[in-house]
Amino acid sequence: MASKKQTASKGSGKSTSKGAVVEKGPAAKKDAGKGDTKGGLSKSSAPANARRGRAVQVKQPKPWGLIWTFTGVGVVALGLIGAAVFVVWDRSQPPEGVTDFYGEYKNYSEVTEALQDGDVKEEDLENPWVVQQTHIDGEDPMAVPEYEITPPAGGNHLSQWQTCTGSVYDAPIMDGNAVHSLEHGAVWLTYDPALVDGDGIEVLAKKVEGRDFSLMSPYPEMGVAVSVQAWGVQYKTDDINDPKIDEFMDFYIQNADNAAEPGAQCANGLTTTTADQQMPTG
Amino acid sequence: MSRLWRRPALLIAITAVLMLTAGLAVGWVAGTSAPGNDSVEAGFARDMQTHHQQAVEMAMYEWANGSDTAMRTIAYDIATTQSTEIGMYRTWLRDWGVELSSGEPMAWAGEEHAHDSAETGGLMPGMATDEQMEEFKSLTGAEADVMFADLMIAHHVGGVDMARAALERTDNELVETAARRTISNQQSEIENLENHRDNILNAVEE
Repeated sequence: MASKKQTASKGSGKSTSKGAVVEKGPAAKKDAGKGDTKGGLSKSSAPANARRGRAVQVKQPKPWGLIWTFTGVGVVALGLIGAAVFVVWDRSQPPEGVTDFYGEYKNYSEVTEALQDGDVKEEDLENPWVVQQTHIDGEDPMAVPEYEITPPAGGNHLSQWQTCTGSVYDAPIMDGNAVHSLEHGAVWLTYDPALVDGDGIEVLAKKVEGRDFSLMSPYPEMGVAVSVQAWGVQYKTDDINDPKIDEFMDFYIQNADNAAEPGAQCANGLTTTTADQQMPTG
Repeated sequence: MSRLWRRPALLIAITAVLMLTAGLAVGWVAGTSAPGNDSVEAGFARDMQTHHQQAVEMAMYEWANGSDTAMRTIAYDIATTQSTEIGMYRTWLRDWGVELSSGEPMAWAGEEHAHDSAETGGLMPGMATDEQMEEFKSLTGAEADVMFADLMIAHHVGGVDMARAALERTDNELVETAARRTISNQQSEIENLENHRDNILNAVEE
């Protein structure tokens, strides 16, 4: 407290150019300060103090040093707070309107943390499949995984991933291969061929072509024009020009909190479609 | 407004609150200071890159010399994913300004683990010995597939142990996230390796 007052007095002296006022300044201000503090503490003595205070104040110049010091400090502090708020706000946010299957958890990272800490059991999750990553064709090479939602957005899958290096497939692909691509951090764009014409397919293909960690394929009888899915999340729309499609791809492609296996690749997977009548596991 | 300037105590209080909030905000954004050379975090990152390096070596061999499609696909996956993670660990270490190598593997994980490592001639948990690597590299086809699965299962079990040891000892968010991801991914990969291996063994018997 004492040192602060000293600093303030010095400041006021420095910034005042008239010598006569400088001499008076510190003493007068000290008085004023006392009066004000008392006034603040006890209301009963306020009138007398205020009068005395006012009498002194009339002669006292504005304490510019004090004003500028505190204004400067305040501006700097507000600036820093503003910068911090901006930094937090500027982090990427998931697009609105996306259906996520993590229940009360925000993403794959959070749900696995809860599982490992023993806060929740797999079978008690809203959708246990968001943490299931077994190769269904491991025990039985002919087995094909089944999914609760259409198109699937995660869960047990086949041992091979579908190549997803901006890959556009003109015929349906196996769910189990595509889900493996989602595990690697890809976004899978599907369209209902009954609801999207050739020009529409062209528009959609442009979003995927040349974009690593994305793939696109027709999905007959989906009932909605376009559906995009990443591991544990999905967005459906009937508008092929819906900007949310692009936002979804921007946010979820290789999203570290959402890809079940970040760091894995999209190259060198299966490149055949069901039209090639290949075995599911190639 | 002018009255405010006559109350230094109030001004000082407001300033103090602002400064404190600003300080907290800056501190929060800047995060904690970088881990030191002998920290658990640096030790974990250093040892994981060495540990991963052997997995990449085994997986690259299996990719080139194995015969089972599923097993070779897993090998490709392990080689590429763990290479990516090696890059991540090295970036951490360089960012933190600590050494990338240490003559005392597992020292960060306490006495028990350091002892493990001393017994195996400096190998970390789950790592294959030179003899095992030599034998593996003499095999091709289904034999390589099966030995790859066996070595990699042991390797992953060790990796999960290391990740658990790190989780118990750190509250660094980067390290925690990576350790948790190692645990969840390698556990599910162990199951997949076992299933695919049993498949190959059954097919050989038939």
